[in-house]
Amino acid sequence: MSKSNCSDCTCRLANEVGQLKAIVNAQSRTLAKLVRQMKEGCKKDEEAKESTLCGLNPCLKCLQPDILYHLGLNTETTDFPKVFGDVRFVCMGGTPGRMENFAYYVMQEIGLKINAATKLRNISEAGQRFSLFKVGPVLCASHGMGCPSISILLHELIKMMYHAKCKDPVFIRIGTSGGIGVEPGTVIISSEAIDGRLNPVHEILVHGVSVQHASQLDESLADEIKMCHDPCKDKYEAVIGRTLCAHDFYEGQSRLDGAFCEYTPEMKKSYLETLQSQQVKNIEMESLAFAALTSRANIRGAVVCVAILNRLNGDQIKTPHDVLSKWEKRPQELVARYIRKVLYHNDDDDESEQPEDEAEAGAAGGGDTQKAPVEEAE
Amino acid sequence: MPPTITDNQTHDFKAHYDCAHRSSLQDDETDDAYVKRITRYSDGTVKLRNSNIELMDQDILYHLALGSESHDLQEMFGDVKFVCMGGTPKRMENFAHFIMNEIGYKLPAGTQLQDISAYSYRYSMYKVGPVLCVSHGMGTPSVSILMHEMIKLMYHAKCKDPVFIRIGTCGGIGVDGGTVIITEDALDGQLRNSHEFTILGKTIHRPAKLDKKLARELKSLASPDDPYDTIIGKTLCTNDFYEGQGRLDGAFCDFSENEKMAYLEKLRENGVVNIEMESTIFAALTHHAGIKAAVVCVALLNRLNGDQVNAPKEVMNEWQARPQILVSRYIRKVLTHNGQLKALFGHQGSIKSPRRFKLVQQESQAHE
Repeated sequence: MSKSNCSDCTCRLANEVGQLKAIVNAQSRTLAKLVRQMKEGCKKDEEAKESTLCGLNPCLKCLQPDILYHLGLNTETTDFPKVFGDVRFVCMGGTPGRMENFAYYVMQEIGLKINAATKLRNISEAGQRFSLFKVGPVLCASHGMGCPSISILLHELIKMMYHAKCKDPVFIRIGTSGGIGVEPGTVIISSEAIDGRLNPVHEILVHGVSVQHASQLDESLADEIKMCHDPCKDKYEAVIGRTLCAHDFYEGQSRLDGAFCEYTPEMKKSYLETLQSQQVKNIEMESLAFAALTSRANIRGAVVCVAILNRLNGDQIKTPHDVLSKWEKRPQELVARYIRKVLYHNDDDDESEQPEDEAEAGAAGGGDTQKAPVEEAE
Repeated sequence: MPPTITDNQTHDFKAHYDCAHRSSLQDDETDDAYVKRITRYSDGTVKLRNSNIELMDQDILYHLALGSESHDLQEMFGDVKFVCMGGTPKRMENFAHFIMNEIGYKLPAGTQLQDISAYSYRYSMYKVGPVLCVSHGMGTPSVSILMHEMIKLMYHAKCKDPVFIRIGTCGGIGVDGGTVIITEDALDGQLRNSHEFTILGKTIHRPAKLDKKLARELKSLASPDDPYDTIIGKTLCTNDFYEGQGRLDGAFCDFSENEKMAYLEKLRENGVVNIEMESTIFAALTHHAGIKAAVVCVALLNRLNGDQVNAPKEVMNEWQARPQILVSRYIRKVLTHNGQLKALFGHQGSIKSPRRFKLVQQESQAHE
């Protein structure tokens, strides 16, 4: 009997060792790929020292350290190029929980794996205001509600991109919105953001003086994301249109159910119909600042929202919860397809370099060199 | 509750607003008395300036995960006398525990405070007897959503003469870090004592008035033994943290340090002692609702000496407790005066309709 037990143990151990080897090999290949991407990123940076970001604060290079207060990060204690240098996509949405879920979804969609004993860490927990998760080349951040909140996040993320020397990052806002004359469940990719007076500008007061910045979004990026929509397979419509960005959820969006309401239902309907006649497809509360700040930094930006109701038919949601949950995933699915498409396009190029890939994987597999890639990845 | 009649014949918004105000104001009635009449029932409970709410089958407070038919809001919140709000969920949770100690509120054994609005995933709300502690996020749009829903909550719960207090942090102008500042007037980016709204595509301004008497009362509770100053001054409220506040350390900066200093000096000359991002909307909406309100912040730095917060974390935590201490003194004073301090006991809110309760949770989660 003791011999039998020993034999069983040996078999089990052998199986487990085999599984561990497979896992380690897979992770080594992933790490090798990431390392190569980082190295390529560094090479490109060396070739073209000029960043693709422009219009930035000329004082940034003098800030030592630069404290990203609301993200709980600073350039003294964190090596930005090492930690964030590989970032290519920054996705943001309103609530921390939703963006954490999206981070795990993206991880699955781009084929990144982590050990079962670990989970994604909220990098900005110390800041107590936003949540920030990193999934390889994708950053997922919550931005709170309204333009002032998202503008704080954007300033600090743009500074992060600068300090980390990220190459051509793409920023995408994912969320929900009220639709104007569209079927609930429709995904709207914004062409531009307009304010409550229907002007495509984001106004801020600098030294007491009004300054306006254009709020167009990147047209080619919107088209690329729309092309990831399959009208046959997907059971919903995806349209490109204008988005009203209100600074108030109730009166600013002509709702009748706020604490104050000094207009009639007829006046409300008239206003919404004016919006419809101006090709406005949806209303939300962050796109103006998002469009203006990404545009100023020469960062391609997109806003992808699902309409959870048609405001022409009422102010309150009538759709069952399980349907709403599916709808909320639609912008996430579309954006994940876009990310995969971009990454896969690079993978296509990489296929011709297969031998190099295997060689690096082999090197990474060696015991003496195992630690280096892990440390670099961290 | 008598229904409020809305004039449906008026089409032009501005004329409607002026006409309503003018025709309703009796000849011998002061503005304050007018506001009180249209925002209070005779028993002191909150009357809404929205006649549609009474007609609704259910009023869902989406961003709080509460509803007027899913929860017994009067039983849950009817005893609320103070609504304290601040930016972050963690800070307001800490304040809830702090105020629990200060007013001697006892929880039943084996229980702990629960985030009432956890299912909204947007704001956190804790209730400590007559004190509600709620987070409001950053910036005026985020506060605006919360304020609408809190004011509606006061109406549904039939709260009597509630007091709203914002507790927060700010940048100081010519004051040391750690100074406690009670706002006398809230000013917007163009130094107007008002908040700008865009309604039906048109711009209107509402006065951003805070209760002067309340501010003075809070100031009187500062002790000479406190190892820091407590002052009353004007507060600038901006919609932008970086450029709007004249910072040199944002992602963009099109002005020089000299221009920044000139601007800050101009603010100082106008009596501005601090800058934050919530006070004008807070003041405008509480004033419009006829609710007494105050803003109490601690300065994290003196902006005349730099843009970045450099104080160590422990120092910052101690500073952030200072406005909480002052507000707790005020709450204790009012409760003592009303003989309510010893009568506090825990009681459970109740769910009126389990089915609607579940629906409200789900709909709040979905709405953004």
